[in-house]
Parts: sequence; structure tokens; C-alpha cells
Amino acid sequence: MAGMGYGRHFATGSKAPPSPKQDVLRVYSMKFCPFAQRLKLVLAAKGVKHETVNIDLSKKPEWYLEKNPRGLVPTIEINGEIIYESDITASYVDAVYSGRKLTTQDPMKKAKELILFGDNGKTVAGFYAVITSPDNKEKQAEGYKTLNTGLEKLDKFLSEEKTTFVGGEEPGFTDYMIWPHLERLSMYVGYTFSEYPNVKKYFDNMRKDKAVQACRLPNELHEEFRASLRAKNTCYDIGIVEEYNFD
Amino acid sequence: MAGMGNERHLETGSLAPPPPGKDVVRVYGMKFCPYVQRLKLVLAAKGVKHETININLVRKPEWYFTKNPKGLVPTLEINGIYIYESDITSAYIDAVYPGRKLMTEDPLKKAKEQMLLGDHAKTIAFYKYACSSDPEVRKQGSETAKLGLGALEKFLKQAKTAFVCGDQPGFTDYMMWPHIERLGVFLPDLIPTFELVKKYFDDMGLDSAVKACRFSNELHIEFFNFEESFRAGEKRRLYDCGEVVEYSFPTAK
Repeated sequence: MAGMGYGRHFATGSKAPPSPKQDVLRVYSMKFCPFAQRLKLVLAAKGVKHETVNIDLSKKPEWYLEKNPRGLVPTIEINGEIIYESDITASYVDAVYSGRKLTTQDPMKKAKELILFGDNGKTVAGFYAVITSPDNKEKQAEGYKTLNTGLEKLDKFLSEEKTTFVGGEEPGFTDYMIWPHLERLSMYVGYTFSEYPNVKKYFDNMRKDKAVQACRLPNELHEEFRASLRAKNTCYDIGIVEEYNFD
Repeated sequence: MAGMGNERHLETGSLAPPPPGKDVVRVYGMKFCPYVQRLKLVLAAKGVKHETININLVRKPEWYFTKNPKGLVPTLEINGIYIYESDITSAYIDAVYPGRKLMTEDPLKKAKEQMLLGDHAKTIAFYKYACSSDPEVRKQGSETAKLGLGALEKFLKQAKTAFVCGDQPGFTDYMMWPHIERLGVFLPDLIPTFELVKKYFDDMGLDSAVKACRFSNELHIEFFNFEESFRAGEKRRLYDCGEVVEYSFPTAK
């Protein structure tokens, strides 16, 4: 659970933290963000040491927009360089740091995984349509339809490749890119993947992965976070909260 | 210009072409499609031999959906395997075929280029506005494109290189070029307002792959068939305008 980082979320009006020290990898993140989780999973799987600075996404600090003009997480900062976007940062980390190589080196396999990652966009879009319209039956049905299109592709991919994970016999880069939204599908809307037997099996196997476990926050904490989100008074600092010590 | 392939565009009701020969690279394209052009630029820059089958995107052949369920171009077919999406097919070709490596091997440079490609989406957004008859929509398109070109200007200034990828055009240059070329056709006054982008535009125009895959402004405009399309309220694109090459296999039932 420590994988997502417990640091307090910096808000509007906060003082910018000092720059990270030489060769220290810093991740600007948000504890419950699925996109930040993609990068955190890659860091955990490779065992890359890093520090985390959490950002309050509903009241963004002014200084954060200077780091990342899009104001999104994750962003990484290392030796004065700034990189953002979940897949771009994750891919950078995989290329530069030691530990298990998560991205496949086989061009054909890589192309197939990229196409699957594109199809996963449907799962992500459908998921958001479902959770943002709890009272709109029509929009919900539409959302489920969309996310099912994505899951169907994943099911087909797993049955064709005949491997436990998308990346092979161990979770790889693409697995860590698609996992955060699958985890939330189960957690937020109780999705059981029962119509997609290969995905169901895949889901159970992914849950046992060490990196996945390290970056997983308890359901109750997610619940509390989502309730605050719905009440339009988003609380990021729930559960364990750590204060920063940049010395 | 031969780089884009002048083959006739096959449409609904046409016969499916026989599969390509062993190890032959086949590209399903559309002569004026900017996404196909990305792949064609990569093939041209590396000198990869391939055959082209063009698809009428308004009246798609039924058989095409068995090649690519999304029905989009480009699609690559090699030894029974299908790959689609412009960036995915291009990366595959760059990784597998000999010739100049177009993708940088430096992870930081690669990350920066990928972020720029994200900003480039704003430049691309102009494209659908350019096809609108509504002056308000067109103005909005030109404003959006300015943001994308601004990001490119900043990148070139910081990189201090002639091209995004260095002193020669590379992978990201070829991903960005097709929409910049069309910006030059449809909003010609915009590019000169950015000093480094203007120079970049002119330098890219001298690249042999760019030249091989470029059509005249007039042909681009002829293809869009704006007046008739606006009048009809639907796309009346002239896929087979300019030179047309016929296939060596039967295409009609």
C-alpha cells in the first residue's frame, strides 16, 4: 500500500517544495489517481527508489502548473528534467532504470500490445461514463456497452496469446497500464468480469502480483474518497498521512 | 508523389484482393489520408519496398473489415499478420526493417518527443475545422492550431536542432508532418507567424521522403471537393483524382 505514497497533498497557496536532490527521482502524484498508479506500478515492479509529492487536483498549487502546464499527474522530475503523461513517464522509467525489463523487445508483440492498449481506451472511457452518472440509467447502459467492447478485446487477446498475462508469464508494461482501471471496475461498481472468463482469471492472477499489492489502497479508503468527491469537497488526505521532510 | 500510391480506391461491392506474396509488405491506405502518410513517410525514409491497396473511406469495401475491424487506414498486412494505427505500424516498420533508424534510442529525448506529439494533437484539431463551411468553426480551428504550433516553436527553440529529432528528420517529424503540410495548404498565413516553425516547414519540404509523399496544394484541394460536399451536406471526396494506377488482379465481380 505504501506504493502510492502517503504524503500530504499540496494545495493552492502552498509553498513549492525544494527541487529534488541530485539523481533523486521525484513523482508528483495523487494517492487515488489511476494514471499515477500506472507509473507507481512500474516503479514498484522494478524496485526503483523515488520520492512522492502529492498534489490536490481540485485545488492545484500555482507552482505545480509551472512544472506541468497541463496540471495533471503523474509528472516526474529528475535532475531538472520534467516528464509527464502516465505511459510516457512509465516507459522512461522502464528504459532508464535497472530491474526487470517490463516492455517487450519483440516488435510484433509490442505492436499487438499497443493495439490492445488502444482498445483499453474503451474500458477507461466506459468506466468513467458509468461512475459519473449514477442516476442516469441510459448513460450507464451506454457506459457498460463501451467498457464491454474493451474487455472483449482483452479476453480475445488473452485467449489468442495463451499466456497468463498480456506481457507473458509475468505482468509486463501493458498489464500495469491497464490494471488501475480494472481494479476500480471491481472496487467501484462491483464488476465481476463473469462474462469474460479469460479476463476474470487474469484479474485474479494480477491481484496476486507484488507490485499490484504494493499499490493497492483498501476499498474503504477509496469509498471515503469517492464520497467526498460526490459531496464536492474532495478529501485526499484520508487514511495514513505523512508530512514531508525534504532535508 | 508516387510515395502515397496512386492505386485506385476500392469500394463497397469490390472483390477482396488476393493475399500479398510471402514477406511482401502491403499497406492499405488512402491517397490523401494524413495518417497513412505518416507510415508512407517512414517507409520512404527507410526505403522499404511495399505494395499499396487504397480504400474508399466513405464507401468502405465489406472485406476490409476482416483486415481491420475499425475500418480505418493505414493497416499493414505481412505474412497473414495485420497491424493498424499510424504510430503503431510506423514503429513496427522502423524496428523491423533495415535502413536508417528513425526512432531515437535516448529515453529522455524519446519522452520529450512523445510529449510534443501530445501537444501536436492541437495542430491536428485544426484539420476537421478546415473542412467546415462555418466561418466561426474555421476561426476556432486556426486558434487551436496556434497552440500546437506554439508548442513546436518552443520545442525547436530549446532543442536547437533543425528537426524535432535532430539534424535529420526522424520518427516524430514524420508523425507530425502530414498535418503541418495540410496546415500549409488550408491556413497558409499561420505558419509564417512562427519563426522556427516556418524554417522547419521549409526544411522539411526539402527532405526526400517528404517530397516523395507530397501532393500539390491544388490536388489536396481538388480531393476535398469542398463546394460540392458543402452543397450536398456530406463528404463528396474525389479519391481517385490525379494519376490513377489499376491493379493487376480483378477488383469487380
